[in-house]
Amino acid sequence: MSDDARGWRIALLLAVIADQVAEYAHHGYAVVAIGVRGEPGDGLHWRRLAPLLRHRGAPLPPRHVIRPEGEASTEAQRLATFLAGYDLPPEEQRRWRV
Amino acid sequence: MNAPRKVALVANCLLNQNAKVCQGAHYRGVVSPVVEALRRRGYLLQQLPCPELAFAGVRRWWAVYEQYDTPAYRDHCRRLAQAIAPRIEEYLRRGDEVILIGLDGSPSTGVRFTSSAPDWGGRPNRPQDDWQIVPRRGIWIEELEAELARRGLPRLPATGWALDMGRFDEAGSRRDLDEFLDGQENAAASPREDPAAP
Repeated sequence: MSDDARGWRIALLLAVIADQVAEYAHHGYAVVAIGVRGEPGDGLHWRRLAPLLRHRGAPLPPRHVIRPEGEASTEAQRLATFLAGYDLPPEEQRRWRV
Repeated sequence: MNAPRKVALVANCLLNQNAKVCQGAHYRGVVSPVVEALRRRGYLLQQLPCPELAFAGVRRWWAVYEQYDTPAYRDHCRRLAQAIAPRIEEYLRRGDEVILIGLDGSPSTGVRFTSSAPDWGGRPNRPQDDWQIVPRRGIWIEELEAELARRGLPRLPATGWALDMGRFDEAGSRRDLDEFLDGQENAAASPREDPAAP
């Protein structure tokens, strides 16, 4: 597959993902992006995904990248800390959560 | 050439129950029995997009096949299929074993069964269980398979996790899935032709 064809394929998939992320965000879901180091674009293709999210008016989710070469329990703790440290802004929480 | 892999195309909501229609989720997040069965057998998981989520949103009503059988929804599903089909084609061309795990009973992602009620429409006040389960693909799976066929690719071995069949039977669903996956392992152990060969 040529680079152009591969790029087009990824662009289509990222557009689909952006639509879904935008839909979740629009309804008050706390969305995060979790990638994997070593995958193409860390598995997130952030430089391409972020403009698609902005175009849809979706806030950019905070990102976290798993390090597969790292020790599993350390990576699990890093991920847990990341997840525990993020939530919607207070005004959004008040809007969506009774 | 790299060794062939085992790749499972998995319905979006089997890896994310947040995508289900309201009251349709049976698990918190991942449908773990499906993931465990696939991982135990060494499958890579490729999540498919959810056509209903991107079309009708997270607050959509329950619906049956006939309600989603519209030109606009089929066109939407075709666009999604065109986005994911090149990746599936890449798997097949490199000799990977590819299977599809859908969601039986779903109007979109049903594989063996979908939900049907030709008279549904208007105010959503139908009594529970007022629909039929019929042996047919859901709309999304129909369009995905049509796109793969258009590319000259073989029909993928497929089954569905019976989450949308009215009364969910997890033990029965596990048995069905294990039987299907065992069948795939037996088929893979037998000599076969290259499924993506022209």
